[in-house]
Amino acid sequence: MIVDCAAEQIVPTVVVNNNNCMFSYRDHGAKSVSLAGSFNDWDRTSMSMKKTVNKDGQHVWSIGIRLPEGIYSYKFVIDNNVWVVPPHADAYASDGFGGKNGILIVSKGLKQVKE
Amino acid sequence: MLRNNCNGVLSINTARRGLDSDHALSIKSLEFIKSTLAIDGQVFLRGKNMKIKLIVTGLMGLLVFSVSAYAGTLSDTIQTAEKNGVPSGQVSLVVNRAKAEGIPDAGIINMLRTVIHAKQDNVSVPMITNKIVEGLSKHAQAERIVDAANRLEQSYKQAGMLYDQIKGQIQKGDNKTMELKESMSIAIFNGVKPDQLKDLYRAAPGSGASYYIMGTVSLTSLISSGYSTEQGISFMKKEFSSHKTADEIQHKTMRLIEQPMGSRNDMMEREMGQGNTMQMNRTGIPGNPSDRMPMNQDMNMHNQRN
Repeated sequence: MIVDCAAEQIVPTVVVNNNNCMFSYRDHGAKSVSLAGSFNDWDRTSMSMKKTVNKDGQHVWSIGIRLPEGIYSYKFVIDNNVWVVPPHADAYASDGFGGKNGILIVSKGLKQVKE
Repeated sequence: MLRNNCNGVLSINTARRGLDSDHALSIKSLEFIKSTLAIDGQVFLRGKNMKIKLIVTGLMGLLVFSVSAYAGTLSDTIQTAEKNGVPSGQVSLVVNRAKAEGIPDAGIINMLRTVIHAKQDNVSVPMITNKIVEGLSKHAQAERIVDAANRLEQSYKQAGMLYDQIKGQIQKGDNKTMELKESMSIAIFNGVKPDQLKDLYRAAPGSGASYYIMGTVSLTSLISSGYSTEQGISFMKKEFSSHKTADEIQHKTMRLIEQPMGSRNDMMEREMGQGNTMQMNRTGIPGNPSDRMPMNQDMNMHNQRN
């Protein structure tokens, strides 16, 4: 069953530095988290995120990918079947299937890319 | 197959090998024998006026052939896609992913038709196939995927026309045509009318494309998060005409989105009121538009006023 839900998170979802995009997501109960979006043909399995435990004992899942300038839609996939709306995305848009995607803008003209 | 067996019998056989069951016609044969028109062996028309019957038969035959040709098999549709210049990689992406999700051939054919249509309309094929595979990955129904892909194609076409109308007012040197068109198509896909976007951009003439992009995606954020299109447009127009930076627009939008549903209208009203106050203040303060308060001070001052 696919569930579309927003999750609590304080850390930024994506930090972009010279087209290197670091996606982070905090989830304590997940067995696996992956990144799916317009940049990987929405493949639920090809971009598995790595879990680290921070000093506060929180489970932070992260992955770094390099993206050319552009506008991207994405979501996190928990345990290969739960689609999660990124908590602090640059923007959001309805996906046309009853859910909502996070939007990432990679652009030198905007703040997301740090020169 | 159309046959005339030279003894007064004109017959059309629509049964076609390999025709997908969802598209197979219920009429298997259509025969015109002397003054009787029979469909699948059953008498359909009997009369004296031969010309009228011939016309009716001809029209029905034409209809049958049109539908039959349009239906086709999956392999026919794949060939049609490639003949129309759709890259084979894009075709196989859709076909393989759809098959992996258990979509029947009829559904895959409809998906490929949207891709072919996009190619014929000079709309970005990868953008449409991306929407299709997104729907497949999210286990959306085939009909909904086709609908979303068609709506996206229309949105992109409208965005292209809108871009042609507003490109003259975009500051030169900010070469982000594709990104701006994409942001506009996302907004239109989310229910914003092209005229509403055009009206919005008039509030910030001469801005760079990046500024319009941020305003457009922020507007989409508001709408997709439950604000009405009118609320979103009014808010963004106010932000544009107040010369807010792209960062400020994004931060304010996020603050509005993160508001609980119950307090959103109050927050929006305060934001709108704040904008008016800021504009009034600015009219009395000499200086340039970049001389603005940081966001946190802006909010504190706003809270004190209320």
